Amino acid sequence: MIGVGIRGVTKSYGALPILRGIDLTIDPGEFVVLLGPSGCGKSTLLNIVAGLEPLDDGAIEIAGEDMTHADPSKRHLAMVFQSYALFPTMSVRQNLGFGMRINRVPKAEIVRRVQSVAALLQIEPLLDRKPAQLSGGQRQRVAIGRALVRSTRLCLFDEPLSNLDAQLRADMRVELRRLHADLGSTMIYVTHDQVEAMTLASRVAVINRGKVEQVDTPQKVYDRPATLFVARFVGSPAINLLEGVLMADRRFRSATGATVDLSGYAFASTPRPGTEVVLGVRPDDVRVAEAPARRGDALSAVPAFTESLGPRSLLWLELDGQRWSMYVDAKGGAIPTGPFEPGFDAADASLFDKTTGVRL
Amino acid sequence: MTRSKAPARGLSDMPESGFRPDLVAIGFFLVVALVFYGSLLWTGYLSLTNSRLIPSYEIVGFDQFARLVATPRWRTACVNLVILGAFGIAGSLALGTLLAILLDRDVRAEGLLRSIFLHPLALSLVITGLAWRWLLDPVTGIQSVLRGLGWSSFHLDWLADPDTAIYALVVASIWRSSGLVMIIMLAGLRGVDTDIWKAIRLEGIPLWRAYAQIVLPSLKLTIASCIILLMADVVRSYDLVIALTKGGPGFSTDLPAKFAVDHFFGRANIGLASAASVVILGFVASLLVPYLLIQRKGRA
Repeated sequence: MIGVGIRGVTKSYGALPILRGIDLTIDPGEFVVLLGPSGCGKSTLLNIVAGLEPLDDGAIEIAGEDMTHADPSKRHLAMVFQSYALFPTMSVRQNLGFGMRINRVPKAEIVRRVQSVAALLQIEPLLDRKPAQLSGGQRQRVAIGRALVRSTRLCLFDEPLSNLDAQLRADMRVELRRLHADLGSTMIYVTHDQVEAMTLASRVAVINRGKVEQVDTPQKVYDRPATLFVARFVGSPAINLLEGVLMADRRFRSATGATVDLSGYAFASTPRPGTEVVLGVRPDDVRVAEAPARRGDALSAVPAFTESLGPRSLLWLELDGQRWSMYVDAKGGAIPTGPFEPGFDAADASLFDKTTGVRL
Repeated sequence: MTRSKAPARGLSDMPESGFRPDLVAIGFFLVVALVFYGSLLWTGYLSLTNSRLIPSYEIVGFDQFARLVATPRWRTACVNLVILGAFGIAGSLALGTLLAILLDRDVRAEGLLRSIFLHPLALSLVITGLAWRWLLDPVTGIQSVLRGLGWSSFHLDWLADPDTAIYALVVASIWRSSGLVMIIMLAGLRGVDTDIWKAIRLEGIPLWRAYAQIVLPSLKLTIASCIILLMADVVRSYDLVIALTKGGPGFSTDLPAKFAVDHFFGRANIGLASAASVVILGFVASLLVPYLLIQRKGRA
């Protein structure tokens, strides 16, 4: 188990900046997911860690050693690719063993390691098949196997599940979690799929436009997004947002004059009245206000339509010209049909500076 | 009442234009059937007769084939075909693949180099042959240039020697065909998944092993296509011989196609020439065997 240090890494393709100074420390045994929309630079970052792409500035440390300019094969790491990258003319067994053969590992040792990895991934019956004779899920297993044969200390994954169908993806997620628990390897995993990030990661690094927006546990990233971008990108259905101004008495006032009391909100610093802000509330936190204030300036929502999700339904609302959503109990029958006052706990909400996008 | 039928006609049958695609196609098929397969069958028939200057229809069985096999000139032609095939194809394949690999490894000025290597293909074989005849001619070509520069002992007269003249043909055919192989192989190499290359670098696999054991084996269908194209070129390489050596010195660079043409039109021995043509047809048909094998393997 080895740690990885990413120190001030920058990279641009010509005039186009891809990474604008990335700092990230990954502890031994961690499962870190790099999450971000396509084109945010997360795959480039992974390739730089692997040494497959040069960086412009900064440094990469692996196991405490400076590996910035080391050859990819000397970095003590293995990698799993989106397209599996199995060698097409070799059998599964040869695919697993080829790297070791090149590196003159004794034959008996090759056989032993191939066997143990094949057993771990339950691919023994496939050992003599060619990649073309395998299904997508089997190929992915073999690709993971090839990585594990190479190194169980540090494994990089570049969107490994995105070519699989939904069911297989769910299975492989569980499998990867089990592998991580069994082997304790350090894993760095790139994806744009937030479900994968949420379910796999011990820590998620959300990346946007070549910058790390937030590094935290999945729950923290979801509950307390550090920036407006993170709030928007993580969570499905998307977070409910409302623009407004912060007033002197820790109240939020929307453009139409509706106000929300934020005295229960944990401000990061003393709020400055007059700041233009964006209020964010997760759909799970919205409910029908139990004790409606019945003031003229209370929030007012008009139900638009519902989506049935089985155990509960998603109710879409029209609120101050914004589209909001909230969960309602499908069986309880308490689905509002007319305008009503929505409520939420200010402690669950998020408040961002409108101009900088940073959490207040 | 009879007139009421007219408006019911659909758009599909427009007799006014008189255009019938099926008739055009039938014409095409008739031409192919008569000219191509008709000639083929007729040649096959003639090869079983005792025709000399003009076709005769007296069947003599396989006499012409026996005579063909007994003709030293035919045997030389077949040996030459094998030499040209083996060395020419191997050479073009090796050189073309090497060029493709070099281009694929991000050489500068790829576009320029690509057109330079592909250029020979655009030239008529007659011009290729002529150019190489001049280059290999002791009086006008490479030998005289190098001797003029002071290397007075330099010796290059392949075309004059019956034992080496066929290798001049091999060189010219490699020069001509390697550009084609290069362009096909380059397309194949460009199709290799970039993730495979990343995996290769990560495993620390040396470049030559990566090509020899991973990349080129995965391009075996591409390579097979090249071989089939090259084999077809070799079997019908008539014009190159004519332009470069005219079959000489003596008959030392004769090829089956030239043998057949000479006997048809020059030596007025239609029966023997037909037999030779049938054998050439056999060669061509055998080209399809590896192709069919690959196809079958691909389906299995």
